Amino acid sequence: MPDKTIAQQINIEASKKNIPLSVFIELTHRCNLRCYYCYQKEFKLTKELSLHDWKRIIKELAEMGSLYITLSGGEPLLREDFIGIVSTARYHNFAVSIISNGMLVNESIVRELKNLGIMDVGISLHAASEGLHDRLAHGPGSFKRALYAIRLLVKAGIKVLIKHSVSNTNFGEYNKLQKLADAEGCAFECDSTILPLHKGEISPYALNHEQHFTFLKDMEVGSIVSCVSNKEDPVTLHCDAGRSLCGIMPDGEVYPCIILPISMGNISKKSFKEIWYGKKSTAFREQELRLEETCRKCEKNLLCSRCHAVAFLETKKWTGKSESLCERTAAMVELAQSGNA
Amino acid sequence: MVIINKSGKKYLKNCVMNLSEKTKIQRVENVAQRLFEEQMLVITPKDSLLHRFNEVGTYIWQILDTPKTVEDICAEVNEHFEDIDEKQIFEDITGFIAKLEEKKLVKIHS
Repeated sequence: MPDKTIAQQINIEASKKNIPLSVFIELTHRCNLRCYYCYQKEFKLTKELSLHDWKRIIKELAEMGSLYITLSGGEPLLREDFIGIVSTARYHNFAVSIISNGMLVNESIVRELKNLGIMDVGISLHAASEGLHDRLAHGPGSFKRALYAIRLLVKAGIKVLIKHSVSNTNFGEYNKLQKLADAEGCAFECDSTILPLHKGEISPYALNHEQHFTFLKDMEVGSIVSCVSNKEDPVTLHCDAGRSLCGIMPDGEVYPCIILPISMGNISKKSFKEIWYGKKSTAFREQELRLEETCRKCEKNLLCSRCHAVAFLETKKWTGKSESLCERTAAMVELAQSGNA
Repeated sequence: MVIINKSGKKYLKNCVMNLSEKTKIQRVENVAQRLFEEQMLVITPKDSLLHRFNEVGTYIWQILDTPKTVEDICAEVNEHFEDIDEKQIFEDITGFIAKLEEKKLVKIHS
């Protein structure tokens, strides 16, 4: 197995010591698009922490050793004080990533982001063509706007990642988007995890077995599969959520991960430190060590990218299994056995 | 390797640029960084890679919050750490600075 990078080593250390190295912040639930698979239920203005609140929180996170901040939403650029929040994070020397749909990116914002020295901007695309993307985003013109945003950012020398969720509705677009990313000078990130629209069900857009297999094969995941050799590694099913990873919602609710809605406390009432080392957080970490036997004793768990959040959203129990991820793992096993690994 | 010229000035061979004792070193702006378990973590802007400095590197990075000459850096490191080999210090520090310069983390003013 290749040596761990410094980033991986630091993450392991942070995870062992419960240092929230990476913090995902949803600044708002408001959004100017209505993407087909989005799990958000409220797109209007709900309670949002103020810039003043975020200044206090970001300062505290820096003092606790956090280094990476990802600002997302909803659409984070809908906040009028967005640049003020980025500026605060940069003032405290954070590596700042932004995830946006690109609709509100313009020359002035790009100039400010460049001057502030952010790390990267992720722009979400559902497809490599205008027709399909616009239809899936329920936003006429949204593909053109996203492409315009990508080009402005790349031209300014800001690292851009085209982010793509692979579903059964846009299946195969990832190949075209990879080419688009190469042509536009961007990195490309895609994921086949689709969160349910409603708690207690699998997303209707989740991939089937065959699609999982094809996707994993196309992504050359086989080389990763062949690296898995340590059967005794107890961290296989472990997740960094609630340890080196943290999520904060627009109203200040602190979650172990931005997609795992288990409240550890609200930051508008307590300091982050009190919440992070408080009873609820400690209980979560202890419970995380005792996942259900179905997962712990599963023969396929070495190849499983188990996710507490997906399990929770699909079954209302985060310590158990998720059918959709079991499907992906089965495809992974098949890939490994077929010789592609 | 350190080269000492006729006037006694020291230079480091194979550096991106020659570093003398009077060379001024300035940290670039906008670098993401964090002190983590007493070691400095720094992300290089060009490639977003994470780097971890050892104790001396962390100290040098911290005192470079204002621009300093190589001579000043050597003197401060010498004063701060007890078990430093004075003969080796110039070579070690200029080697570190050369790496910082290569990673575009500092600017060098001759």
